Amino acid sequence: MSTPQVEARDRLSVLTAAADAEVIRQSLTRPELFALVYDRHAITVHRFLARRVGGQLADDLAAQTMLAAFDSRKRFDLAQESALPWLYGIATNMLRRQARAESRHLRALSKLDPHPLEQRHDDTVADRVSAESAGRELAIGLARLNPQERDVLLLVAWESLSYEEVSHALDIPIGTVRSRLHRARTKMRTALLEVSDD
Amino acid sequence: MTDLDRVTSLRPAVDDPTPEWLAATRTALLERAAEPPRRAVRRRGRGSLTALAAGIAVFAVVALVMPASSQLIAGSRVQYVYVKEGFSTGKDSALSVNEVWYPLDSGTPADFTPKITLACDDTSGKKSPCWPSGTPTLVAPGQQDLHSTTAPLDWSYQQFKQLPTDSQQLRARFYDLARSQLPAGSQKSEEDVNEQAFLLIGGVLKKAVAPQETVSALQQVLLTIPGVVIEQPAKDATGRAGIGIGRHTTTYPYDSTLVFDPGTHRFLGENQVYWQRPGYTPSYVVLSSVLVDRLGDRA
Repeated sequence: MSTPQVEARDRLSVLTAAADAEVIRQSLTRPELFALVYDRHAITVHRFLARRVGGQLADDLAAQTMLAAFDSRKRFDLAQESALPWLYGIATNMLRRQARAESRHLRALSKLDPHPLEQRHDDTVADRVSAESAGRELAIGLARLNPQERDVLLLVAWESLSYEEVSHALDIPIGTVRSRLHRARTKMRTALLEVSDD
Repeated sequence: MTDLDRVTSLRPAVDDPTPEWLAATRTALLERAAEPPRRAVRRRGRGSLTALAAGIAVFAVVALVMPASSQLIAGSRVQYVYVKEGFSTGKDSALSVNEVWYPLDSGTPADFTPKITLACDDTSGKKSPCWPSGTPTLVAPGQQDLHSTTAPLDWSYQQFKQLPTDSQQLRARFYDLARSQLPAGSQKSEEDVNEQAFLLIGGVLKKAVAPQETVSALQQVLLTIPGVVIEQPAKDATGRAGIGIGRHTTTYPYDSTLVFDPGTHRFLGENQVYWQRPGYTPSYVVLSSVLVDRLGDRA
């Protein structure tokens, strides 16, 4: 005999083993199921952001990322099995949004200062913290990258995403992923060599 | 080592998010999920933070402000926790009702038979025998009675009252207890500990003696246990709607869903689904849990 309780639990059990795409598809009519996606990936997203901007800001940005993902789940490409690259993409947008806000703030400050901030200070807090948290050696290299190159490099090197996944996460062609990564690696190689020569 | 390997090797080590963050964020997400779709889609940017802050605030307010039942009763003559509980073996079965009075300093019900017994059809509308007072049977035949296991299921109201209401501290406490309850010498995997913590908290909630601030904190702890699944809306055996926090178990042959009131975070009851007994879906409900002055008082 099957009761609504059993059916509900059966559905949940099936979903627990289902790919993210199926869970998200069902969450369109049963929004609470999106909690499964949260359970699977929230910690990974938080770690990614913590590496980029530190733990405190990561708390805010990771929460915003998961809520933004929930709100935009209709736009998730159901052909993708895993939601993680998509979540990385949203998290990266959060980093950039934070970056823009910080840039505006810094520009405002620079107008008050008789000695305008140097170009390097126009980097975002997110980027600077990202660089600092990785240590001086890495920081020097990361600071030489533009944000787009940095995003690609760190998604590949730190998050182990494939080129295709980065392409999906950042919504850019694979060729662009390759070229950005190539430029990033060239700059990093030079920087690391210089640091080791010091 | 390539330059890419070098960058990888320099990846900073970071701490995982705290259980409190996980619980608060998940709660904010569920609250968003419960909103009408239009509103959810319109909200962006700062609204997200507001929702999260609200989620955290609700928990904080409930934890800090929600008075224990005892505080609602004037004076200090409170002597007992009165618990009225119900049990059904399935969707169409009648609800058996039981009443117990726990002395505040004891985890064992008082030996007492009320002069005026309950009409056992008062909640389900179906005639069924009441349980003998003080001998609840909350598990399936052949299964271990959770009430018979050791602390904290034998704790008194006063002992529960001494527990931290900070969910992080409470989590650490219950995980320590869970580890200690696993068989000595056995390989204790994290999954075993997680499951045991879930079952332990479920057992405590079903005893229905803990003060509300402890129950609220335990709900937060449950939300941090890996493997839990949220059901929303969930219903208890009397049809009360709530948020269900469920988990598959291997210790027992059933999945358990603990149902909480979404507003007050009161524990409403538990729904079980036995994998190898089709149709056997026992449920437990807490119909009342209040502090009373005298044995036999019900409010």
